[in-house]
This record gives sequence, structure tokens and C-alpha cells, in this order.
Amino acid sequence: MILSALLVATAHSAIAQVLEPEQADLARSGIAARERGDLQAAEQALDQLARQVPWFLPVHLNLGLVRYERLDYVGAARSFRDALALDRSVEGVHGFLGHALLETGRANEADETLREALDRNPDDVKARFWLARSLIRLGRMREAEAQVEVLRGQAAVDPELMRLRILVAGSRSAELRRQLMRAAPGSAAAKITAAETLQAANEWSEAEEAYETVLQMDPHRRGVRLALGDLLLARGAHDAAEELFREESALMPYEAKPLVRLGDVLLLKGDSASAEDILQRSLELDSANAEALELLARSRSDQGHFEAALDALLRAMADASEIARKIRIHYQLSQVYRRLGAGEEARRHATEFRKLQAGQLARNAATDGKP
Amino acid sequence: MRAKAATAFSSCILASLVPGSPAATLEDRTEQAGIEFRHSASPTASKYLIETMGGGVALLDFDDDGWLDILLVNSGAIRDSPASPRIDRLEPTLHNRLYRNAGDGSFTDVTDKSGLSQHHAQIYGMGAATGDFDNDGRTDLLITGYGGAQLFHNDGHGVFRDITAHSGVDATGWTASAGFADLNGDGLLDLVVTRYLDWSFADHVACGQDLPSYCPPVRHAAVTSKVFANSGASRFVDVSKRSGMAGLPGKALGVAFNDIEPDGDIDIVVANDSEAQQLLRNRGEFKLEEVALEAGVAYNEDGGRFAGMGVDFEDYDNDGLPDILITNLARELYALFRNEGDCLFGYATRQSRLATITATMSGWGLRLADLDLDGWKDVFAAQGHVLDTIERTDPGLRYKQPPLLALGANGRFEDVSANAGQVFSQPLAGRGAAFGDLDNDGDIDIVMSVLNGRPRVLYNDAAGSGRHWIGLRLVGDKSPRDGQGTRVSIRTPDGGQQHRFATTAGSYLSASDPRVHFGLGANETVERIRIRWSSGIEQELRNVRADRFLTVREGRAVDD
Repeated sequence: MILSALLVATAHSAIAQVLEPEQADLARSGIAARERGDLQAAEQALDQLARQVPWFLPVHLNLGLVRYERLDYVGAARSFRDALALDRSVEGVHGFLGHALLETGRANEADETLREALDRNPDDVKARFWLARSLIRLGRMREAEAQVEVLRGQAAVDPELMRLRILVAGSRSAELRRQLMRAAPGSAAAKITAAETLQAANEWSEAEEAYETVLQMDPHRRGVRLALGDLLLARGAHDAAEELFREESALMPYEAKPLVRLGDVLLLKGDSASAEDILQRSLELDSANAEALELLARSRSDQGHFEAALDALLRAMADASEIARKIRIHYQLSQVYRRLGAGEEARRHATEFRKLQAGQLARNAATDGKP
Repeated sequence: MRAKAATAFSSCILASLVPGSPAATLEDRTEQAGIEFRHSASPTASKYLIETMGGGVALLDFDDDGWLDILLVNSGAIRDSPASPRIDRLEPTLHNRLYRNAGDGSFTDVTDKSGLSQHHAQIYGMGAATGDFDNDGRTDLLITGYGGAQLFHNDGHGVFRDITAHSGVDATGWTASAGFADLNGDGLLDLVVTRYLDWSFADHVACGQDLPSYCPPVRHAAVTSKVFANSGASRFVDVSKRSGMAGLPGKALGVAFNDIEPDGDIDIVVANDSEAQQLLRNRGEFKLEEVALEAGVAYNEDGGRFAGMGVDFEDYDNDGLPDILITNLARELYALFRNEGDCLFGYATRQSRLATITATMSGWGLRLADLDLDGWKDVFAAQGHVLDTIERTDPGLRYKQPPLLALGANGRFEDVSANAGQVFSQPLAGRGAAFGDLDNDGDIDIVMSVLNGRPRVLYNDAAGSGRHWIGLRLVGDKSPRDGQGTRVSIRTPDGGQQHRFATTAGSYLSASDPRVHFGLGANETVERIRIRWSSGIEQELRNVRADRFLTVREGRAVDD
């Protein structure tokens, strides 16, 4: 962190010149503690020093930094303000103060402070990022969107920036949804779009109402029962979802998807025999549907028909392109082979499962920074 | 008398004919019991992970008067000073509490006399385990928590003594569920202590950019659980390395015991949060072999990880082989693994109908127990999501949820919560659950702990429905004196068979009644009771009259 290096360097150079030996030791011990990662000890030493030499700018900067790193944003804001009270021109501090204020819920003050940071340095990407977040928090979406656009030109694509863009886009989509419903109040297509965006925005009750309105407007509308059924499924309403999937299957007898969804919910309900029938029908319409084949294998395993389950799994594996599906199928194959007494094959698929799963976990860890 | 008999008869008929009409209703008698305990987790704005995980409950007859008493584990206060957050257990309201059962439905707080208010100041309480580890006839106690675990010896006269320092039980870190079991067959209860994950105030990370929330376990490194061998004289030796446990990192929250085959050795299931579940085959001499993947219990049926929390290891389908039920988070479905024999388990969540029942449920403490006395084990689970912010991020879920009662029969379960008592309509942040017959009336009662709330003392009146039962108090001689580790099978005149493993472990952070209990339905006698003690000694009783507790001493005649 640039600020970190700057502050520590400033402190080191000033310590010996202006502090009493005991105070200098305290400062050095605080900085050393921070460098070895003992933030608690660092804060204690620097806090003690700040009380002794409140006129000494670097101590407030370092104390603010340590508190910031400990996620103590209230304390960090206090220290950064103490520093700015001594010297308003010190570089880099406004941005961190603004972020600390944002994290403590003071978005208006953050907005003001971060604008000051950008006045001093328009290339301060972090400050602009936090400003955009402050504006989103304040509901000033157009201004936030403008800041995000500047950021897109300034910063490399990263997950945080993408998240900001999604937040802005979500807000815009809500506004557009309202405009769309005003412009086309009787349009089923418009209502479906509204339902989908509501669902994406976690407003499920409103989404459910919107889907139901569509079904009243156009009872034969393709796909709406699937969307509503999946929404109900996520709420645990398996019976209601089953009914919708059955209706969709009847409406669209030449489509495999409603049958696959119906087979899935029947399996969840423990009705494996009915699920097998339904999934067989879906495969007559779409013989290479890997999802249907996986579910079919499951329905057969449930009934103890392991040879037939194996056949479905091998067909599913032949069509599987996604890594997640391959992982699942390897696991299921290991289980089915064990029941068939084919220990060698079971071990082979278990090993493959482990290998692919480890790879996926490593990729997730790399993306999320998790241990 | 005639009218009473007619009422009992008709309720029995109704219960057996009408699906969803539970013979088991659980009445909340917390007030009448005089339980004033309130769990305190001290939630902070920092959202420390420990705040959302406690606390447990134990049912133990600490004074050996024949009535189960209640121990409630408190967590503590977190003084969230930015400079140094710390745990505070000084206030009496932050202590664990022991309530003595007077036998008339009331309980008396005897904590101060019991010595259990002597907390280790730095342990933020989690759970409890019970067992008579020195075979002196008195139930001893382990308390777990963030910061370690404390072992208490029951000295008699209602007094416990903290013997942690000299006992050899050195379980540092974040300890969660624990259990006593005689793993090497020497007649002394050994100890398994699960540990959750590598977390400290210094490592704490905040999650949720705009909505602070508890971090998922994936943000913290896995740790290993501990196995302690009982070497006698209240001394334990850490055999984690020798047993292989020290090489099996996980994020353990639950532990349960049973004998998979059964071959006489006690095997172990460890429920892990968002890591592979663990099944440890006991190969004797403290050699544990982890076989979960091969056995089919490490993951769900897709090979996916799930947030294992509470666990039970019992035979739900009466086929003589112990099955595994693990509670976890909403949308993951409680994982039921049916034992098919030959150390192979099938994922039976869907076929048992638990998928439909638990789709949006988050479960913690649980037990497979015959609550309606029909001869089939049922499921009770304490429920509530781990995130108090979940409703903001997933509108299909709820943070507080009522507990679950699902009645079992023929390998399937039916959710009867709606008709099973008022508590099943109360949204709660349920956590621990302990099971036992508090009023000795022949059915299993439940005490459920509630995060940052009052526990619920739930009385079951199934024994008044006309169904029959039998309870066994086991007294070991070569086997552990409290009978833990004994396997009991019964056969009833209608041809039914049932099996139960004597253990106080299982559930989540909790310890249950050590007595073994069976519901008998309409059977007024038990044709045969077969008892296999952990020593290998077998006993058989014939034509036993129902509706009573029997005391069975290892290798000796039976007392009524």
C-alpha cells in the first residue's frame, strides 16, 4: 500500500530528529509491531505516543493506518482527522479518511472528503472507487454511474469494479423497469422482463406476483410457469412447483425442458419411479440432454437399478462439457461402480473426482482469496 | 376408568390411521420449570464468527437421584474494544447454569453450589459432553468453547471439580461438540473433542461490503479434532496423532458414535462445516481409518460439500445398521445416509422425503428418536440460519425458524410440526438440542437452546396416548459403568425389530440421556431384548413387560 510505505518512511526519518529517546523507542516499537503484523501491539504503542506528542503528525498518520488495517474505521477516521488538523495538505490521507467515513455509514461526509481527495489528485483510483460507492449508498445513481465510467478508463478490470458496475446497472434496471411498465402496462413481455429483474434483485414476492400477472394476461405464455416454478422451488414449495411444471409440459408437449424440471422436482419429492418415466420422455425429445441423463441415473440408482444408472451416467459423461458436471458424474460413477462390485472402476472415478474437485477449489481460492 | 380407557384407545387408533396426526406433541413448559437462563452471545457490530455458533445443552442426572437435570452452556460477552476485543464471563448472567430436576416439573438453579460457575475466563462457551469417565457411578462433564475445553469431575454431593489442568485434556482453540466413548474396549470412556476452525480476534475478517455479516467458514483454515485416551485415574493421553485424527483437517461441529457393521468396535462420524464429512472406522488400539469418500458419506449425492453441523448416527429404518443424519444450511438439504451394509451408504435424503421437508431449513441440534412411540425413529431438529442478515440477501430464507418434528415410518418422514405444539410456530435461532425423559413418564422430552435467547423445555406426552415403551438404564462392569457404547436390539410380538446404541453424544454441542429408550406402539411386551456391551458380553431378556424402566447390569440379573 502506497500510503503505508509513505507513512512509515516519514515516521522513521522524523523520529530521531524530533522525539525524546523514550518516545522514539515507543514509535519504533509501534512501527515494528505493525511490520510484523501485530496490529494490536502497534495500536497500543502508537496510541500511547499520540497522547504524549499530539503535535507530531506522523504518529497520527501511522495510528490511523494501523486502525484502518484493523478495520476500526471509527478510530481510523479520528486519527486521520487529527493528522489533517495539523496539516491539511498532507497527501493521500483524504482518500483513506473518506473510505473510513463510508464504512462507518457517514456517506455524506465521505462524499465531501473523497471529492477533496480527487481535487488534489484526479488519478487517485481508490478515492474515485470509494466515491462511487458513497454515491450509490446515497442513491445518487447518475453521479455514481459517471464515476464508474471514469474508473473504467482508469483502472484495470477487477472484480470490485465489476461489482460496482452491477450495482449501478441494477439501479438503472430498476428505473428502466418502472419506465417500461409505464410505457407498456398491458404487455406480457414487459411484465416478464419486470419479473426477471425483480427476481435478480432478490425481490422474490414482487417477482412471483409479476409472473402470476403474466399468466393471467396470457395463460399460454411459454416459459413463464418454468420461471415461476423455479422461484417457488427455491422457496421450498415443491408441490406448487410440480404443478406448474406439469402444466408447462402439457402446454409444450414437444419440449424437453419442462419434463426435465418436472423430473427434478419428482426426484426431490422422493418419487423416483415417476421421475424415471418423465425423464425418459424428455430424452425421447432431446436424447443428449446431460442434465436429464444425470437425473435419470439418479432415479435409477434410487430404485436399485445400478446397471441402468451406469448406462445413463456414461451417456451423460460423453456429453458433459462443464467441469462442474464432470465432477458430479465422476462422483456418481464411483458410487454406482461400488454397488456393482467394480472396485477398480469405483476407485478410478473417485480419484478423478478428487483431482477435479481439488482443481476447482484451487481456482475458487485464487478468485476469492480464501485459504 | 372405562371412559379413560376408551379415550386412550381412540387416540391410539386415530394416531395410527390419520397421516400427520402426531401422537407426539411437545409442550413448552420452560416457565413452569423455572428455567430463567438466557443464552448470551453478545453480538457485536464486528460480526465475530463465534457469536453465531453457541450454545449447547446437556441432560444429565448429576446427583444420581433418578431425574435428569439440565446444564445450559452460555457463551459470554465480547468486549469489542477496537484495541483489544476480549471475552468476559464475570457477570453471573454469563455463566453456565445447572438446574436440578425436583421431579415435579420444577427445576432449581444449583450452579453456585455445583462449582460450575468457575469458568475459565477466556473460554467463550459452546457445548457440553457427559460421561462417567472414572466409572465411579457419577456423571462427569466436559465443557467446550472458543479458547479451549474444561473437564469437570463429579465429586458427588452435587459438586464438580475442574480437573482440566492435571487431566491431560489439552484441547486448545475453538472446541465444539464432544463425546465420550470407549474406543479401545478397556472399559474406560475415551474422549473425542471436535474443533471448528482456525479463528481468532486477530484473524477476524469482516464480510459483506454493504451489509456486514458473519464470514463463511471457507475464509478460515481447517483444523484437526482431538482424541484423548483414558488411562485411568481421571487421566487422559492425547492420541490424536497415533489415531490418525491429527492428519485429518476439517471444520468439525458435530460428532456421533455407533458401530457400522456392527463388529464391536465403536466408529465415529464427524460433521464438518463446508468440508468433507468424516467417517472414522475404528481398527482397534486407537487406530482410526477415514473412509467417508469410499463409504459415500463425505459429500452429498452430487459430490458436493455441505455445511455439516449437527449429527446423529442411528438406525432410522430398523434394519439393524446405523444410518447417519447431518443437519446443514438451507438449500443444502439435511443429509441422510442410509447404511446399506459393507460400509456403504446411500444418500437417502430425497427418498426419505427429507428433501421436501428441509429444503429451506437450517438445522443444528437433532436426534433420531422415537418421539411418538410407534416403533420408528423420528427427527427433531433445532433450526435457524447462521446469518442474521440472510433475509436481506436471500428472500426465500428466514434467520429464525421454528424447530422441526418429522415423524418416521418405513424409511420415510412426514413433517408434523404444524400440529405438534406451539413451539413449532415460533421463529427461533435454535442451536443445541438434548433429548431425554425429564419426567420419567416413558417418552422422550427435549431441551433446545436458543442463541441469545431462553431455552425451550419441551415435554412430550406421547406416553399418555396409549402407546407402549420400554427404557433401559445400563450399568456396565467390564464395560463403561454408564453403559455408553452398548448396543441394544429388541423384537416385539408384532415382528418388529429395533436397534439403539447407548450414547450421550450426537446432536450439536449437546449431551442427551444415557438411558436407552424404545417406543413399542401397541405391543404390551417385548419378546426379546438383546444387549451387547462394549466389552463383548451379550445378555438376552425374554418376554419383558412394557411401560417401565429396567436397570440392566452387565452380566447380572435384571432389576425392575
